[in-house]
Amino acid sequence: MLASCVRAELVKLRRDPIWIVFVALPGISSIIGCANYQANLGVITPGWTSLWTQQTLFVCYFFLPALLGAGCSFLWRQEHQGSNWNELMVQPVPIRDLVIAKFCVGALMSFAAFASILVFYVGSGVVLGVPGAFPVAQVTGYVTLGALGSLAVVAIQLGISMVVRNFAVPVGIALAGGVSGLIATVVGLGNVWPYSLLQTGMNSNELVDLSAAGIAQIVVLSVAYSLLAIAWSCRWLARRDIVATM
Amino acid sequence: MTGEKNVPHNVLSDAPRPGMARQVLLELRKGRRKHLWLICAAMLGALLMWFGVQSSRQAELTADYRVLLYSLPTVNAIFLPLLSTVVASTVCDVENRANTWKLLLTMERAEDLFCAKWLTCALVLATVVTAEVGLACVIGVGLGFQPVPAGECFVLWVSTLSVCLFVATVIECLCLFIANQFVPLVLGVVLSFLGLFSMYLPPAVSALVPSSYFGLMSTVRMSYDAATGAMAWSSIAWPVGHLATIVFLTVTAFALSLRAFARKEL
Repeated sequence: MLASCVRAELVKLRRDPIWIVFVALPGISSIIGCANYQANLGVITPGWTSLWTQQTLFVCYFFLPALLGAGCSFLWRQEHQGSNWNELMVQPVPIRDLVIAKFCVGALMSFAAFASILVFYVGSGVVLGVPGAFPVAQVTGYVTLGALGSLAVVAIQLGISMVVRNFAVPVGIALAGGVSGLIATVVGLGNVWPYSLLQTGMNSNELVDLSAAGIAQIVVLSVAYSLLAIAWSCRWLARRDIVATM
Repeated sequence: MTGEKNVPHNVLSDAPRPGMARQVLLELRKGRRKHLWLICAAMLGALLMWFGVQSSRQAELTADYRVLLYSLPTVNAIFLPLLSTVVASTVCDVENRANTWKLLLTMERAEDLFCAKWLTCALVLATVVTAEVGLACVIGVGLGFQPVPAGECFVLWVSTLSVCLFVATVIECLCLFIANQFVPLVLGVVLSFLGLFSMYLPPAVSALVPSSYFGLMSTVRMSYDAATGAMAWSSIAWPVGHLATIVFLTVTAFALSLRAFARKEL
């Protein structure tokens, strides 16, 4: 049943430009990051680590959370329009599957963004002739942990977008969340605050120590926040009466 | 039979038209329970928190108020394009979601509706920018900086609001033509993104990025001595050429959008 729900969500997204954005925005960031890397070669230490910082620093703090917020708003907007909410609520599938299907598609959006970040990073590094061996294990770790951390953001934003029947407001909340994540990281809560986990995992400015304990904390808390947010969304949907107003 | 029957007659042309103030009030009423003021306050809070943290570090070096006037536009370039987008999208999306265009445009002129929505965005943004400039000055004094002169505050207010209005005009146009709000919102995210990077771009390139005008219209320049690591802030004349550019672009975008919206087939 869950697979059918996921397929239905993907069908709803057919011919929408949403996927292009998740691939293109990291591309823009990568191009600007490359220009910045080249312009500051006299100041920074040339290498893959510096290129990673230049390309992902601002994406992980502000724009990926905002983009995920927009994606999650888009997933719920279709249900908020017309009589779709009523139809959603009478679907012969468990509410849990409806919520998890949206989460799966939100996660796919996030993974598309991370795949784009990785492809642009490797491609631009090769084109620029970045010195040193490519840090396979390090970058794989950053991308995996960042993608895992982003799942917490997706789950929370889906909950917010479900409740707030306005497309734009959850996007603003996501941007504010990204800033709160940065502040949490600065004050030492980077491994705890849900909006920080994505940033901590990507380790763009090396503000945090990604020790084994830190990595375990990111993994456990990302999964825990995601499960909590999904559980809350299911409970809210199950208990609230149908609201089909504009 | 005369030929008069073939002349298209606009049923709205003879109808009494409500004043623009009443229409703006109506738009504000439509926005009730849309959490618009709440999200404006939240984003403003995040902006000022960032500004405060950034300024508190500088306060250890100098008490020059020009530090505040230099810092605020850089933070504005990140937050305000998206905030302007959120405001414009929320004001315009009410009709998309309720699918009330046909109903509305049989009761009021398309031009009036467009202007009312634009004025509503302008009113909200003017309130936000006024609060932002006022609170930033208060934070600055609280951190030990010299008070910002009233004239400089006014220049900052005009510069900031003009860029916000340009972004809101473009986004309003998009929202009225594209029911899918993902597109305008992503444009807002991209403008914020480019605004952040604009400080690293050459001036000729950054002049092509709307959100970089927050910084371009700043009356303060910072110079950095790499040998000593010392930073110095100096006043420059208000770049009114940039202000004229952004006002011209706003007026052009407004006029084109208004014309296109009035002619749009429902």
